[in-house]
Amino acid sequence: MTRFLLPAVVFVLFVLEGTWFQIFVPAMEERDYTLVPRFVLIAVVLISIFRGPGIGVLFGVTLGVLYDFVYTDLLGIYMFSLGFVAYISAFTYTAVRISYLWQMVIILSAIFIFEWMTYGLYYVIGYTDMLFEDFFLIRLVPSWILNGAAALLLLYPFQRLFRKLDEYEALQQR
Amino acid sequence: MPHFFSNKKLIVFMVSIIVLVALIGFSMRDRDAVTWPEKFVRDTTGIVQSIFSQPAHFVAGFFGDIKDHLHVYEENELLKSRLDEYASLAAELESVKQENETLKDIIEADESLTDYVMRQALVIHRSPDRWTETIGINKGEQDGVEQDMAVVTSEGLIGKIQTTSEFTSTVQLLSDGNRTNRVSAMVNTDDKPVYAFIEGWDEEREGLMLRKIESEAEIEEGQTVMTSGLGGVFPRGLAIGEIVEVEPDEFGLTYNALIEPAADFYNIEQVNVIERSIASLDEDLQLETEENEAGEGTENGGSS
Repeated sequence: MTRFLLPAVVFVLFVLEGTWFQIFVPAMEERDYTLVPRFVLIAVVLISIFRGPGIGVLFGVTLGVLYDFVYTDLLGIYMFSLGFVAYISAFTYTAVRISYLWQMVIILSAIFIFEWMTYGLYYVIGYTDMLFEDFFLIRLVPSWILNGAAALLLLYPFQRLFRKLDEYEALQQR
Repeated sequence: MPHFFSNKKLIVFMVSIIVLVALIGFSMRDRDAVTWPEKFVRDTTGIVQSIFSQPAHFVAGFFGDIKDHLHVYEENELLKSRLDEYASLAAELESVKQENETLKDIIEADESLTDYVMRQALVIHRSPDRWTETIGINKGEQDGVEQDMAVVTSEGLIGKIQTTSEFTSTVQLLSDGNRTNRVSAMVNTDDKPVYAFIEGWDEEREGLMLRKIESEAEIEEGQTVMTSGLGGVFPRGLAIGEIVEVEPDEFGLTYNALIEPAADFYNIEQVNVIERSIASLDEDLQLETEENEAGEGTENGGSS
């Protein structure tokens, strides 16, 4: 049971991005910034930090494929970006694991790299012609604020979850 | 990142970039249908998404109701003033309908471009990254939904079916910026309708762009725009919106107009998928040309 807890939690976050968030925080015409939830990204970065790069990339790529299949018609963009971000954010040091501050810094930089990468890819293939300054103000800064707040809420539950998983694995090995 | 660019990692990185480019290239083509793994994943997540979004729609609807109750009085006043107008309009509509029926009988036309079958569907997700404007609905091939069918809300046209899987489909909204996103539309003017294309969304002015309007056409602000039924499988006469601005295009040969959409693209809960009853025009045309060719063939045979 405990083994499936992590995938289940991440999958629920994935579904929430497209359903609850879109219903309760609908986009409005008057609003001139775009709020994009990146809850899955936060989870993937935390998995990378606490479970190592291998499992992090596995989760990143799987969820990226899911994202590509379900929400976009283009394949590959999210698979690649999420896998890549999962890999470079795998700071598995104890100093990072015990410090909320470091984790927040890593999450915020991961959001920056991820948003920039997806924007760049969409720009290259011609799906958007937004300028970088516009992208920075309309998408990146709101995304930082929204997902930073979400990360603050998610950090503690995820640490509890990882501790539980560690205990479970230790029990299994005995 | 302890050992970032060691040789092996570098190779993996390169290979994944190649895979990325290949995948994007594969999916950028005009695909008629999505591949079966995509369908499978969409159907499975579709079930979970329905479970999540139904109660959420209910809760959101509840708060919406409370908000509505606060405006009941003003709305009531407005509606009362409209009611008389409505009664006369309804009577006129009825007589026009009857007249239309008799006229149709005279020319023996059973089907017209305006006839359609409607299927109700619930919105189960919306693409969270706002690069593409698409929503998912809980009806798919099993319910008879097909690619390119029109999708409307009670207010007007919102988009068309982009891809289908067995139990879900994806709707491309009119506000999506993709170049292939176009709809054949007509403007109701005083004499005859003017045909043009809805092409994309104007980000700055928040409206749909109606392009390629003939320069002789008498287009004014306030005229209504609806689907023409001439391209693809859309029926005729689905409301799209109202013209708010008219301007000549960059070459001065045709006009462009900005349209305020009748439907709200942001709070969508229930949609209707519309299937035109009459077979697509192309097939008819093909049949006709085939007949003509056959006819010409015999004529030629006779003369020679």
